[in-house]
Amino acid sequence: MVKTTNSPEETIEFAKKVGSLLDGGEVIAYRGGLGAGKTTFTRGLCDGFGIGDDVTSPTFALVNEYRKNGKALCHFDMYRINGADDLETTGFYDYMDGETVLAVEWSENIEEALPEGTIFIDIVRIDDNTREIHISGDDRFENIGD
Amino acid sequence: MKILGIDTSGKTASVALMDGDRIMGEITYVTRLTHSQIILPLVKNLLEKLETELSDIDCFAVSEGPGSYTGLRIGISAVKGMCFTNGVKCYGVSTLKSLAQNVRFFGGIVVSVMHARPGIAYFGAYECKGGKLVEVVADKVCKYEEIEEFIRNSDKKIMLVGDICEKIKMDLFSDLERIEVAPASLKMQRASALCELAFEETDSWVTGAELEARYLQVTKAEKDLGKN
Repeated sequence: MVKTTNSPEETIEFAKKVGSLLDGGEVIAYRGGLGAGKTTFTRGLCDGFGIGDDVTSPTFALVNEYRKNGKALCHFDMYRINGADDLETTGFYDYMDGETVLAVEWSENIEEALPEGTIFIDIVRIDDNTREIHISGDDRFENIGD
Repeated sequence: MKILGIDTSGKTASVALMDGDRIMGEITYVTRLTHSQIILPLVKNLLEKLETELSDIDCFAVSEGPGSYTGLRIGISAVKGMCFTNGVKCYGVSTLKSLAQNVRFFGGIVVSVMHARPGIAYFGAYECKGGKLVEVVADKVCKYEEIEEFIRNSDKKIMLVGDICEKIKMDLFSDLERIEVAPASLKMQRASALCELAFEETDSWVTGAELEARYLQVTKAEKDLGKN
């Protein structure tokens, strides 16, 4: 499905709806360039999932972990990851425990490692405020843009 | 002789103190927190309860792998640090062997199985001879099918141990009664097993600098096995 948003606030509101539909254990692969709004989206996603919105960019740390109320979300940045061996040493696979939501920025760099059932969220920058958000890989989000 | 065991190879965090040939204390629990947050407080807690100082320890036994990348490195780094500070030696133990150690009086073959990736496991097998483990299959990464083949080709009684032992039993051997699953208290990693194995192998203790992780790299193995 496709949703167009006209401000960061709208993006966050939409992401909250997406987050509220998560059960835990999902892998979310973002595709989108610099400044597309992946971290902004994750703020809303985390909030909707029930963990709060205190999300910052994981670029430096490679992964930020957020836990609350027995739920967990791990927010990755694969910008500096080159290849499968590199990925393995980040402990990426350790996080796939069936309960933790994985939100992966720059997922293009680890495409072959993404599991079946990965939810793809493409964020396209139309102009400074406008974004086109495409969600594929899972039926449950089909109608939430309405 | 005092041996401190630390296991952070999987979802359980475990520490144990062995004094001579007796386990004086052990703390083990399944945790969702990262090991870096709990393992050293756990060590401190155990030593305080046992009125023992870190400087009294003669050897640190630690899980060297396979298992969780981050977990293994947390345990190994902690042990290296403590070895450097105290000038004592350490001993790295295969996670698969330490699991088998839990049930080493079983009259048959112990098969250690740990989750690596969907459909892919860390796998090792040991024959039990008078309470000692004799390796039958060296630690490896393989598809579930290979484990099934090994077990079905064997005529011995088999005991499965490790975090996917129940799954392997249910998915592959629900029809075979001679394939058993280890009891609840013995199916997961325990630091006391690390202590026991270190106690038996004092000649193989190494310095902190020599201690290495043995991940059994799944990514490389996946390429060889052909993904899927």
